[in-house]
Amino acid sequence: MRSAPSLLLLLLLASVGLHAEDLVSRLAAAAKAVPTVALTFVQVKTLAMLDAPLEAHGTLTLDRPQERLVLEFTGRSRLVLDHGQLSRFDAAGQQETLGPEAAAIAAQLHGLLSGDFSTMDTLFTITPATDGSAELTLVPRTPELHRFIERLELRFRPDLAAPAVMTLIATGGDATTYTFSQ
Amino acid sequence: MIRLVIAAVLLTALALMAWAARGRLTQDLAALLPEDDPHLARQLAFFASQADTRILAVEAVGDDGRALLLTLPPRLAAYGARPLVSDDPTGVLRAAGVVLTHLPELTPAEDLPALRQRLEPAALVASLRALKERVSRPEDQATAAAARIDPLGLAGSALSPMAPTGRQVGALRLHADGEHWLLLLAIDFPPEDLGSTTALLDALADPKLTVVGAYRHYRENLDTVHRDLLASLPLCAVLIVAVLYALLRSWRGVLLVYVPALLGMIGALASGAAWSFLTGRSLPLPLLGFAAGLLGIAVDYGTYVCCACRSGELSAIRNPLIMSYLAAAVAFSMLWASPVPGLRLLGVLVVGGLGTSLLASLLLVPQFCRGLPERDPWAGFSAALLGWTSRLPRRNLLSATLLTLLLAPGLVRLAPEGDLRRLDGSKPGTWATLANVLGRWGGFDTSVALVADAPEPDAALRRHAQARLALGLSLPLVERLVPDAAEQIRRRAAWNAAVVGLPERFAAACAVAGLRASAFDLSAYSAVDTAADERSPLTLDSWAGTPVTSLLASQVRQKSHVWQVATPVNGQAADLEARLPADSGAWIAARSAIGSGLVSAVRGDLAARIPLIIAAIVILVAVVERNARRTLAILLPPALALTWSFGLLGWLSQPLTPLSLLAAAFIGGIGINSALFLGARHHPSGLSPVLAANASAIIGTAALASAAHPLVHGIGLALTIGLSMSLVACLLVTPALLARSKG
Repeated sequence: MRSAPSLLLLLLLASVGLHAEDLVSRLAAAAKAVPTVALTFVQVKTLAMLDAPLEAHGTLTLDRPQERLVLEFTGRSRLVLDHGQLSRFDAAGQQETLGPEAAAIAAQLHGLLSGDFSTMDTLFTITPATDGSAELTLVPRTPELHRFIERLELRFRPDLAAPAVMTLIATGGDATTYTFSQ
Repeated sequence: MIRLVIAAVLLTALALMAWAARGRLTQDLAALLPEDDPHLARQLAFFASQADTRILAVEAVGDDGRALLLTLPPRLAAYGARPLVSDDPTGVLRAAGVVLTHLPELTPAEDLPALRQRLEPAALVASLRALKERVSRPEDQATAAAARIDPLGLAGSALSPMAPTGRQVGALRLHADGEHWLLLLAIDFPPEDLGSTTALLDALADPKLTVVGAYRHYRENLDTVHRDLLASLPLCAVLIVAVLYALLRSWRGVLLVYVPALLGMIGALASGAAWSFLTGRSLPLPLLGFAAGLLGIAVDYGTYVCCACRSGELSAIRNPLIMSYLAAAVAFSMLWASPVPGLRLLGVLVVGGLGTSLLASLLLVPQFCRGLPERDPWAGFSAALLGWTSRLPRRNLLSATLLTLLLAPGLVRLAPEGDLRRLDGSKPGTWATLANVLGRWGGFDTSVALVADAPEPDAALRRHAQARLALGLSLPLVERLVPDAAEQIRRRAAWNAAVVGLPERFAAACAVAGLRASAFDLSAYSAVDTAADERSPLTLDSWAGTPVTSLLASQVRQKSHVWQVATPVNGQAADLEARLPADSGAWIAARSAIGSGLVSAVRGDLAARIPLIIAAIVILVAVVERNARRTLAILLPPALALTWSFGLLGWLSQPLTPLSLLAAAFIGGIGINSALFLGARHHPSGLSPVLAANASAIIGTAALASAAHPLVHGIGLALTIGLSMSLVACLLVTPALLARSKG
């Protein structure tokens, strides 16, 4: 639960605008101030190989004291990051295996959970928005990863404690956008 | 007093020389090998380099096991262990990039039928429908991006042989059964660094983890030896001391018994140092241990001198002492001309060591024997036994003949131990666990390998491939991932034939499956130039920075400007060698060849020298004794003891090991000593030290025979049987022949 003074501080910070170089550290601080978060989301996948975009719904739960994140696609599957270990379960609750992308996904989810995006620093160059808005753009550092991912865009809600919009743009133009709401 | 000063000066000089030998010690068994046996040296070097791979595998089961394995990498970094395959996806993605760039070169003839089938129109439609279903899953984040440049997943197919029974998931490998997880660890230190090995294995001590690798075997061997020694040595030491004290009734006397052997070891080391300085060769530690065992014979010297001193008969044993030494010196000096460096050094160590023991026995021990109790407490028993053995000589000789007829046929059943793993002291369950894990993960028996050497990697790969084809063996990982240049050209041509018309078929299949063909980049599937100079080749360097490099490390390596390609193969080494074309440039490495090779190299040389050694000893004893019957009384017991003991070992199906030679020399040496000293003092006080010397030696070796370590158990059993036979032979034959001689 967030405390009143910290919320006030966050709102104050948001109102005066954020310096780009401070954003990464402020995200971490904000995450500490808000221990639990529960959000719903809408996912829109726009793939060049398909004629029409795909839409899905789900929930995102962040339990920071328990170091646990659950990203659930309603009626389909769950991604669970528990103390740094990533697992995926199908609709029946059976665990599924993860591919080589697991580390990148785990780092991405860890960033959302802890607010500490420095763990993604080995894979991505992290650039805050230059206009002071609460946005991060992550670009793969290596050509190998860049062959598949062009960039990841993250826009945070005003209190910085959780994402508002997350967009994964693949090389070739495919895009997957998550829009979060309370 | 003068003798003491001389002895002190000599001992100081020897101790200094022995000290100087420290810097020339080595663990390398190759220092023992004959210079003219490159085949054996090559085998040893190969398996030594395989052990250098320094990999430890850790397996766990289920989600708990996976979670536990994932906690290991950060924790084990402090112990010098890191994951062989990093969980950083960059390496895997880089490997995928290499595959997509070199799909034609990575598609061997063995894979072409399956590829052609996948490129059939119906198969293309099925594959693209499955792709559409997968990318439509909301939780799927990666497939669409990967499919854009590899819609049929051919990169994954090309990499699948890397993990034939599972798939790599981050730093872990998941078995196809979905239950077993494997973490391969690269270790910074060799298994013989026992301090680090012990710390690492202690850190991995968890009932949920199964640890497999040379590190575990080293640790368990050491633990087994320690356990064996701790279990047997205290009781053994107490019993030996009790036997000697019962004979000498003096603690000083008990200590004096060991002085010749201890000084002999210093003398042996000093001799070894001199040999090393003169020849420029290193001193192999295993051989020093071997020689130290032989010098245990010198304990006899101490026992005989102490017993003789207390009864005022020192002069009576001077000749047998010198004779005993001369017999050993004559025998072992014959080894100085051996082409096997290990045997040459053994000759030097024993002659030098026993020489020092002799000097200590003659000059030093008597100086401290004054005041030992004069009475022989065993006199009554010895008198009765000697009387019994001397009373009916014919009965004794008949008994010896019967024993010979019974046991000698066992000699033909003796065979060298071919598999060195059977001499390993790991827990019985460890080998079962290893077989279990290797069986599950598609592991193979690494005791036989096909090896090709060449100055250039491509030539080594080509030789290996040609030899493999000649033997009809299946395609190994290295040939799949790094084909030689000529093979790459062949694969490109075959690929081009397989992908003719693919773009059109693919577009048609997309239309049927409901996918947009324009979204895909099919450049990785297109035909390529077949000529080597028109296209960058696939080489080992192509895989740099990918997990493939680690996986291939044990199969392709460069040592001393020579590239070596080696792959494990199933089959009998002898059969493979026989089928391998002589001009292939490849060879078969087999662990069994090392064991049998070492034994046969030494045995072959000894077989030529043993007649000379026997002749020299016979001549020496005959010249000194000048009596055929006395000569026979001294030489027959050790000969019979060796025949009986190795015959019995043959009947017991005990294999010959390199340590069997130690047993033979020890049995022969103790046997000659017993006969010599009993012959010199053929009365009860002469038999007592013979009994004590044999009894203490048998107690010591019986303790080794009870060991769990197969190598220690084997030598202990051989020595216990041999020394017992030696005493029986001496008691049956020497008094019988001497009684007849006197009669």
